[in-house]
Amino acid sequence: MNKFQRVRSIIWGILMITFSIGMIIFPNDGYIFMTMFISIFLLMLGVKKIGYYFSMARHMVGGKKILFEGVILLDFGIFTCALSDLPKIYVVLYLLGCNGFAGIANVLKGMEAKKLGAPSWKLSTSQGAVSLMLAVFSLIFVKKTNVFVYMYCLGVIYSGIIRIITAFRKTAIIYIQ
Amino acid sequence: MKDRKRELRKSRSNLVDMGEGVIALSAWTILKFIMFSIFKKAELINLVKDELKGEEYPPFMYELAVIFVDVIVLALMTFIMVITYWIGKSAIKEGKNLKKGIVYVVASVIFVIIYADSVYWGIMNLINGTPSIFDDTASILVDITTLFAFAGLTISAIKVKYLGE
Amino acid sequence: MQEDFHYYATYAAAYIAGYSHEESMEICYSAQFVDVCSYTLLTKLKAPLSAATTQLQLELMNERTDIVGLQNITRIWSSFHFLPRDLYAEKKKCGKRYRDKYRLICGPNGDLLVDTVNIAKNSSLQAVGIAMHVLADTWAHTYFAGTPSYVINNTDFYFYELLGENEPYIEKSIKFRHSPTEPDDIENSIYTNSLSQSTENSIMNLGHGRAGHLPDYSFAKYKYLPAWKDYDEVIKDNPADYMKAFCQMIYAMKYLRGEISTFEKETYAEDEISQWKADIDQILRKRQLNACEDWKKFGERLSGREIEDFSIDKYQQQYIDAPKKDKDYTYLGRFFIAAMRQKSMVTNKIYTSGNLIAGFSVDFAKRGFKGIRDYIKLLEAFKRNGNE
Repeated sequence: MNKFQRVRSIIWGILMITFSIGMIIFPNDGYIFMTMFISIFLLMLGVKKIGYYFSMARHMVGGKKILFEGVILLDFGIFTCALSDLPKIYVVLYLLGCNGFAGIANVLKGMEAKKLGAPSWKLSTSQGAVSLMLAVFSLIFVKKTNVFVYMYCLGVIYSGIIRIITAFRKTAIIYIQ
Repeated sequence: MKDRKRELRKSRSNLVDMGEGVIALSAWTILKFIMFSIFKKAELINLVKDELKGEEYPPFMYELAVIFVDVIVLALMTFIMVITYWIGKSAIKEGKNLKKGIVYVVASVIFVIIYADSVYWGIMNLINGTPSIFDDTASILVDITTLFAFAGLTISAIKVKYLGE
Repeated sequence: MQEDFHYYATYAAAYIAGYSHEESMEICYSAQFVDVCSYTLLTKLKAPLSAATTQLQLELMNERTDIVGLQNITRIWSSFHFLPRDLYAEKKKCGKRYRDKYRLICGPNGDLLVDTVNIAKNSSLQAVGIAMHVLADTWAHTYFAGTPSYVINNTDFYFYELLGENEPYIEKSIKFRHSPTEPDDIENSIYTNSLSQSTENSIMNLGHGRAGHLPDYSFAKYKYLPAWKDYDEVIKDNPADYMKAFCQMIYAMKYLRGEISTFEKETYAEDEISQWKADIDQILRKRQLNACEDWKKFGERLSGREIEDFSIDKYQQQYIDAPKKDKDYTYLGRFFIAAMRQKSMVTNKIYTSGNLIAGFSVDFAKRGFKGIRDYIKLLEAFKRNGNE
């Protein structure tokens, strides 16, 4: 990463953590913000996809598919933004998807590590178990918006911390002629 | 000769892409309508009330009216979806050199005309001022893309028939 | 390529090039070890993680695809499995982001191959093994890039196997399925590939995942449309390519042994294999998922010695038991240093071409030591005697 990318990563990380803590302290307002973020996220997905088509995929065999995907995603994003009250099903699916997939991947990675005799299997498996637990919680506590806010914020805080850690990681490789 | 073969491969690939595109866009249109009916029920009821202004009916009548309109529109959309699916599937099969046809190309031309008209009136609507500018802009974007998909499908199908001979 | 070529065929090539049985065993073990040296294994051995030469499927699934994650992936896969052919390739009317990925497309006889072979000169047998793995893969993995990229590595329905010895070939449409547990059905041309994901940086779009294992089967001859080639079809003749890879390995190893003064591109030791060419061709063209047995018999016939089967555990205890100051002198210690040197060189070449996909490279001569601490081992090895 260059200096600008590192600074940007740190600032984003701090913003994400700060916002999340604010949302945890005020969960009712937090829910409104959370639904807004999810809507904007879906909208930006569509915009990104269309941008991706014009910058990259138009050079590709079969690239037009990307344009169609982008337009559908954009329309979906705008439709979601226009909903005055984001249905809970969106939030549940979003949390279920993120945590469920990450949980399964981590557990499988832990099992693979254990087969190879690597000590990292304990960390991977426990990370996976926590993610799966959060995914299950999103189904159990479907009526409690506070729980959604806490789960969402946990994920955002974790991402924010990772961003900050990544910004400080040494990534350059020395070259000796 | 090499260029002709390359052009043929390109046209076949485009035909498959456009075929998949028209199916996906039509399916999305129906899905969006269903989501709109579920999540924006209140807006639909207000629309019906606006249409019947001056007349007072019991609340369940408005809901019934909305359901009635939904069913009619959904039936019409499903019919269009079936035709679009057939056009798309025929295009995909021809693109993969599995089957040839001409009727789907004719149907595609008709859809080009329909969507061109839809886009024109959508833009006119925007110019004349619309309360839901974002929604309408997105709808026009989808219509333009669908028009592009049908037009692309038609052109690719003609190219494939010409180059394949 | 698979174990049959990386291990047994490399043994045969090393023996023909003039290495002894024992040296050939060390070389071929190192060549195959490139395919198993993952973060998970290195964690178990408490070895430097920067020496990773591959990533397990599950490691890949867990790898973040942010800037740093993509750099890690690209460094490993471009350095060891998809060596770029031309870091200065031009493509018209495209942006920098596309061009950077386009320039990572793998192919044989590139300048980086010459650099790869040269850094193994006067180095350890482990370095020779790594160089042979990289060389062989440039033939098998041609047209794919060692970085996740949908626009470069994707394939579509236009994929045909070409059956028959000579033209005109019978074209059989290949069916791909997403079933990693089921073996490929070579009789019916049904192969497993990675799931189609239209996200640019998805792991599913790394390397030749979208073409399944086809590039790694020596018998396979097929044609398809690479995503980047603007609807031009390519015919991939694996039997011919693998033969060239074998001959080029012999030539490269003769150079590394000192029998030849320079290593040049597009040069193959075809005379050296003339008495075995028919046998080798038969092995390469035989339709089988795994040619280990045939290559093993061939290698044992050449040397008259038994070729021990590859075992991932073979040198692990030696490394674990060695005191810290002696670890770099063990078999695996030498392998790790050679791997880091290869990764350092390839990253530097990609970086100096103006491409940041593989991240930053720091020239030690100009800026001293900076960056990942694991690479201090390279400095120590350099100070010891300039080579490992």
